[in-house]
Amino acid sequence: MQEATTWRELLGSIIQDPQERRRLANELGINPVTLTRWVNNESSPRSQSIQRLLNALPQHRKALLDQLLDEFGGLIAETEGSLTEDLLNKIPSEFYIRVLRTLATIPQVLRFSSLCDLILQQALEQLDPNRVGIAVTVVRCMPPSTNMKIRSLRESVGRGTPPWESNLDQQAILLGAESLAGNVVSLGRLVANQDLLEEQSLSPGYHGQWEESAAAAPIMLEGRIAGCLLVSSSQPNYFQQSRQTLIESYADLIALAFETIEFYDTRQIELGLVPFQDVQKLYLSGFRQRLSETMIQATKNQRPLTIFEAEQIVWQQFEAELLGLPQAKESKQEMPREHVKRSHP
Amino acid sequence: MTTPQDNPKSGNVYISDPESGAEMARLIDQDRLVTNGMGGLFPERSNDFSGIHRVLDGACGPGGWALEIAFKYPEIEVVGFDVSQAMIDYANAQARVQGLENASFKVMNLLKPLEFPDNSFDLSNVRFVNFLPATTWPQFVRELARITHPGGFIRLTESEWWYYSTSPALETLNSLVIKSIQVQGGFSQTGRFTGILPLLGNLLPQVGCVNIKLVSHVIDFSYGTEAYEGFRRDASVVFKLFQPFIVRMQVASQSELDDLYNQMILEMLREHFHGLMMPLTAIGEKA
Repeated sequence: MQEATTWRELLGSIIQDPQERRRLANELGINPVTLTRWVNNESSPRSQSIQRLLNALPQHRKALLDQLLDEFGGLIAETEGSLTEDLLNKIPSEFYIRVLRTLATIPQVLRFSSLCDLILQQALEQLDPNRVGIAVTVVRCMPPSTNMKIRSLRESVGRGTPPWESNLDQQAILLGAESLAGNVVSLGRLVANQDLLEEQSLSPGYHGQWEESAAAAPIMLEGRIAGCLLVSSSQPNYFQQSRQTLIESYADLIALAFETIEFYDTRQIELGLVPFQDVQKLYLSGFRQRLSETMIQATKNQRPLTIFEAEQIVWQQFEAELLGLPQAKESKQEMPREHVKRSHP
Repeated sequence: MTTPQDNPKSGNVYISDPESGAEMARLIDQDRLVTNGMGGLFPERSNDFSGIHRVLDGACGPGGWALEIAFKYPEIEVVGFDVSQAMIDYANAQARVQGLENASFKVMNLLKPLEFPDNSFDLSNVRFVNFLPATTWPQFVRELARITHPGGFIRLTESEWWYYSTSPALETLNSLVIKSIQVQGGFSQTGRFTGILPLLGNLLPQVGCVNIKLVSHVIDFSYGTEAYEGFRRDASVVFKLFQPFIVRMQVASQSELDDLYNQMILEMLREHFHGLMMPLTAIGEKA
């Protein structure tokens, strides 16, 4: 195929595929006829649509951008510049004010869940303005179990854009040393894996459902660590430098949701390997039931628990069972050994 | 829901602090849950926005419904307003980070004359303001009619919130909120229901609307449904944030609320928990 010399030609070749034409129109929120009009030079996109077009075609982004610059010059430079400078790198100041105001007034029992909710919603909108599909999850350290060591992490609050569900809380599992999150918590710095399908990759992490690339940044206070902010994308190479910077900023903000005692000395981090998601799901299917029983029992014992305290206890029971920790022996459920395989070397 | 006022004259129409980020986060989640549960942004017209160029979302909170329209329909201009500066700052920031040039938000009070010219919008939408004093409704619906273009739509959506569930504690907490609203002059005659649903369709012909339709929606948030976790979370936030309001209205004591709240958390965790939210939409065309 002859190389396209204008962005209109390039777009024309792309939308020859009817499926791709429909996908693009859908992602840009326009009628497919509008795409044809652009190709035929009968109309031109607005700056908002240009940005969406670039984001919808990451594999053609560079070529498209060069050719769009030829035709639109300043407009594109302004669009790209302002997006990079203000929208991609920085959390809006209004939002910092909102988070700090919330922290000052929120009932203690809602502190973690409401602050995480508020921050994740904002992160979702800013990291995925064109809704190509991301999931954002707060991953927290499980409290130390044996020898004061932290042996696993657990996914806590999560939010997503399609194909992920909007609320990911019920999908939560434990993560260990084999995971990207585990790697980040062990290292104490941001790590990105731009192609989770690449088996030869030296970057940690494994391919989850819909997940093509991922990045995570540690949640820290005074050099101590509480967990990490994990972001997964349905697109490969999604985590350019600007997005990585933004993820770090959101991780810093999420630190406000945690109590000081939930930040651990990095020397306490000694993550084990946890079973694959399918195996965990078998265990976790009884989570709600066990949670309910734990709360009822605590109430009967005149020591009522909040739902957050009860959740923590039940997660610790699951952790012990899944990692085969000593305290799990009495309550450990039988699980066929062949099911306990690793998702990633 | 965005919520009732301590003093109807103050212009503050929120049960909980509208500047609170917890309330904002809750409203964003709730907005998404309810819109999905109702079957989209404009289900009464099969989500067909043809012929609609300007949309108004009154008492928009953090702007979820309006932003969603702006995203899906770049050719439509969407305007939202709310009495809370914090909500509006947030909604405008969201429009900016998403590059939605067709969405804008203003601080404005639904209970005062609206700062829009006559015949400005093709669709004027207001939902979940059943906490407003009964006496204020005719006036603000008249204002919506004034600013809606002839042939355009006025759309009002309300519900009885958490009324229909198998959790006695949830039902009781819901009724305590309604009783508190009744104290402030809501539609409720008995404190059992908000009282607005039977009147919703009747408000529209009074302001010159025709082709009035009442459309009910059912959102199942029983244990195991897609909506369950979101509604369970919403209840755990709502009935914590609204407690100071209920206590102030002297409808229940703090210790009563604490016990009910803990009981509700437990009851909603049970596998046999069932719950329905049943929003009702009244929609009419301005003649």
